[in-house]
Parts: sequence; structure tokens; C-alpha cells
Amino acid sequence: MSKNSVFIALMNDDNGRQICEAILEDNPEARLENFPAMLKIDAPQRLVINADSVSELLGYDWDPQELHLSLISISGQVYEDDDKFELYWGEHHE
Amino acid sequence: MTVEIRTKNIEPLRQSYGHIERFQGKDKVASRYLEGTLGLQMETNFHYRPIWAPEYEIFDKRRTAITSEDWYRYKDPRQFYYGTYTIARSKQSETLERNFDFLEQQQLLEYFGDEATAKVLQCLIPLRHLEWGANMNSCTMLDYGWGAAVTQPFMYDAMDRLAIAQQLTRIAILMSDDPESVLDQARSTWTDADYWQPLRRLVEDTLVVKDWFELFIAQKVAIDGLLLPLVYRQLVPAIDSGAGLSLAVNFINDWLVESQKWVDALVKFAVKENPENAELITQWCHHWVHRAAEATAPYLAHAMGKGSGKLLESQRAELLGRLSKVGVGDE
Repeated sequence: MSKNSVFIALMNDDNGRQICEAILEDNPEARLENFPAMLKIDAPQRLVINADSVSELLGYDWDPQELHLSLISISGQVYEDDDKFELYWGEHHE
Repeated sequence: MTVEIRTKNIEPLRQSYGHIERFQGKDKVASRYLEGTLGLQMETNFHYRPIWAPEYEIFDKRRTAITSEDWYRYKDPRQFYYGTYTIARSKQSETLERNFDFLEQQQLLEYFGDEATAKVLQCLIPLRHLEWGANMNSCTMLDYGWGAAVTQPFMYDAMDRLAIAQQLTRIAILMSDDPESVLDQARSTWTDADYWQPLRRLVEDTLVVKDWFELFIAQKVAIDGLLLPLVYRQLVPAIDSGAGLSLAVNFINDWLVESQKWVDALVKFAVKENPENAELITQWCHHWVHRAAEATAPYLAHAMGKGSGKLLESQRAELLGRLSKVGVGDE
């Protein structure tokens, strides 16, 4: 991946897998790599986690803050609000 | 000396149990919900037929006119299995306990005016008998339904109904010095007061509905979709403009929003299966929504007075709108 790519690494647990699935659905350019007990997703420039998509997969109202329970590492600048968690480089666009 | 730490990824030979692999493919890890749901109910090798219904097996798909290629393709959108259900409810009951403690400490329910107290005792507390009927109905549906995916939410619903009946009882006890007589009084209101009789009759009629899916439409779609929002969203705030009573029914309001999710999903699932289902469900929905509206009208007129007709109509329109979203046709 180029130097402009962002990544997120999640624990390979019940929630991590579902978050991962939501990310892959919402970010067509994202690529998943499997590690022992870890799921790493790379994406060029920008990666977004939508609370709605994750909530639907998990079956309850998921708060983006809960991401930290499954989070291992990230790279990129962070934008976060009640509806989404976003990683990006450069300027943030809505 | 250099230490090289290497990781070696060992691919598991299989990701899940065989019956789950057959359901969702080989390379996917199953969620706990699927593992705790799929194929749970016995399907073959029944030994004896029930002597009280020898035309059926113990579990039998033919107990409803609704058909499905595979009932297990229905999934509870809340993904409740025993673990998640009990965890969710224990959190909610902690909140509810705190609410009741607060109500007791601040004596918020004891110093209600006479008129408001009378209204609660006449119009709210007798609903514990309706909840008992709903509990019986949910037990019937979980008994006769097919497949754990479908019957599981009915089990949880049955438990929730008992909880709601208990919460109503607690309100009655908090409001009175003589809890026993207050409950007896509420019971005779349920059995004798004119404005309750159509609802009581409706509940009793649902108790003998044989087709479990029709019962589901009658109880979960029609009665719960029409009467309960009127009671807990309109009547309760009208009785107590302060927050006291609303705090006490806080769980019920959350539960109404939550159970709508799996109810709508089940209707949608069955309607989509085939046109015969859609036709039958449409017919049942209109029949039971009509009956529920008819039975609710005199009760609501007594409870809310003027303007109750309008409230009922708007709730009915909301319910029908909700149903048309999940594929139920017009009358």
C-alpha cells in the first residue's frame, strides 16, 4: 500500500469480526489481512466505520466508542462522532 | 544476540460446526447467536405422536397455514440467544430497580391526587391480567412454532410479559397502603367494569386461536401494536405530567420499541416467502387490527375522555403504515 494508506487492526473476536465485516461492506477499496488473533484492514486514503452498519450486524445500538474494546492499532488521522469513526490523511471531507 | 520473534498463522481446519457451515458456508466464523440458534430444535426421529393431537408430530410445520422453505432463515435482528438476552435484561432491571428506589425515596407515587390514583388503579393496573394473557399466548407460540430461530424470541417475550405484569403490580403496591385489596380491586375492575370487557373478551378469544402464526399477528402485531403504545405513550404521561409514573414504566417503553424490531422482521420474513403467505397475513392483520381497535375504543374513551377517538385513529394509521412497510397489503 502507498504511504497514503490508512489501516486499522482489530482483535479477531466476536465484535471485531462484525466490525470488520461492516468496514469491508462500506469501504469497497479496503483490503483485509488475517493474522493470528488479529484482523488488519488497509485502505487507500480513507476508511470509515459507520455505527449503523455495525449495529445491524451486532443486533444492538453500537456506540463508536466501543471500538476501543476491540482495537489493536490504527494509522491515520481520526475523525469521530456519534455516527461514525473515520481514518484519513490530509484534509477531512464530510 | 538477536532474538527473532516469528508468528506462524495456523489455519483452523474448520471455522464452525457442520450444520452451521451448511447454513452459511465454510469460510465464515459463526456468530454466537447463530451457534446458539441454528438447528437447536429436534426435527427428525420423533418417537410418539402427542396423544392430544395425534395428527401432528411433537414439532410440526403444519401447525400453521404459513409455510416457509426454511424457517431458520429468519433471524432475530436483536440476535438474542440465552446469554445476550439475560445480559440485556439484567442491565435494564438494574436501571429499573434504581428508578423504583428513587420513586420510593421521593415518595413520588404516594402523593398522587385522588383522581390520578383512581385512574392508575382503574386503567393501568388491570393490564396485568392482559399481560398474563399475552404470556400464555407467547408460550403457545413457542410451543407450536417451528425452529429455534422463530420460537426463541417468543420464549423471551413470555418472560418479559411476566416482568411487565410484576412491574404494574409494584406500581399498585407503591401507591397504596393496602396492597392486597388494591390488587383485588384491580382484578374485579378487569372482570366487571364495562370499559374493560371488550378487551378482556379479545384476550380470551386470542387464548383459543389454534394457528400459532395467526396468534402472533393477533397478539404481537395487533394488540401490542395498537393498545400498548396508547397506554404507555399517551395515557401514562396524561395521568402524571411529572416524571414519576413514566420512570416506573420506563422498561415497558424501551421494550415496546425493542420488540417491534423482531416482530416486524418476522412478518416481513413470512410475507416474502410466498404470495399465499402474504395474502393470509394481510387478511389476519386487518382482521385483528380491526378487532383490537374495536376493543380498545371504549377503554380509551374511559381512560382519556375527549379526543380518544382521534388518538386511536392515529395509532391505528401508524400501525398500518408500519405493516405496509414490511409487505402487508391493503385491506
